Amino acid sequence: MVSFSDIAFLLIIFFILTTTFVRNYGQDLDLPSGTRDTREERDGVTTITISPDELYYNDEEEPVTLKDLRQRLQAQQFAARPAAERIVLVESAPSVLCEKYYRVVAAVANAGGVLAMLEEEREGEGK
Amino acid sequence: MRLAQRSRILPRVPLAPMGDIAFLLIIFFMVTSVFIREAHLEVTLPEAAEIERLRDAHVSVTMDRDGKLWLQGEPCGVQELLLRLDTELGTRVDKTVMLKIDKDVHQASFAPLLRILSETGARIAWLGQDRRY
Repeated sequence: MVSFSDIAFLLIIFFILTTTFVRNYGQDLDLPSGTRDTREERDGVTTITISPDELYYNDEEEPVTLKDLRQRLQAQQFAARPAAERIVLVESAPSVLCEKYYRVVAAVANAGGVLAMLEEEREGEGK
Repeated sequence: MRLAQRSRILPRVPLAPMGDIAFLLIIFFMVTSVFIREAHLEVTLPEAAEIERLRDAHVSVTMDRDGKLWLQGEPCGVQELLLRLDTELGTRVDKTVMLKIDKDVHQASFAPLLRILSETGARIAWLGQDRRY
């Protein structure tokens, strides 16, 4: 019986030493579910354009910094709006790196916005 | 004068319950452990200021630095992802997909992935690293 508990405790020590506790950090993404929508209206919808070098808010000519973008998104008070009015269109150049895109997406999600990806329809695609 | 010898009682340590406790602890560890399926993948997560602690999810989708897609730690093509995700999520109560994309992947590579994930209707937990600035 003694050796039995010795083995058990050795197994416990092995588990304790080899276990790595993983904590996940990130951002819950609110994507509108469903298929593609081919509407072209953008009236009243917040739009963010991401280029490899700059960020543009609501089709304005002057680029904004990420800090400005955060403030302007927070000022929209999406949390108090109904779901249909929380949509933020994000248009991105194909060469934009994930990290830049992620920062914008995190800012949108943090402000309570619902992310919708704006894509150019390629020939032969769409409905 | 001869003193009466006291009967010596040897103390006994009950070891049986100790073994029981040890095995209960082992069973607890074995039942509650979730093994990482993507330990072999090297992905550098993007950094952002708005990062919060996320709940664990049992379904994970990873895109590595080369734009290769992995579902539950196994290689998966973009075309088959929707079908395989439906299968994975179908039996689960928690419809959360843990998404990991390497920070250096271009938007052209991960945009189709986001589109497919939105079509599944799953809750997406996009993992990142904390960066306060």
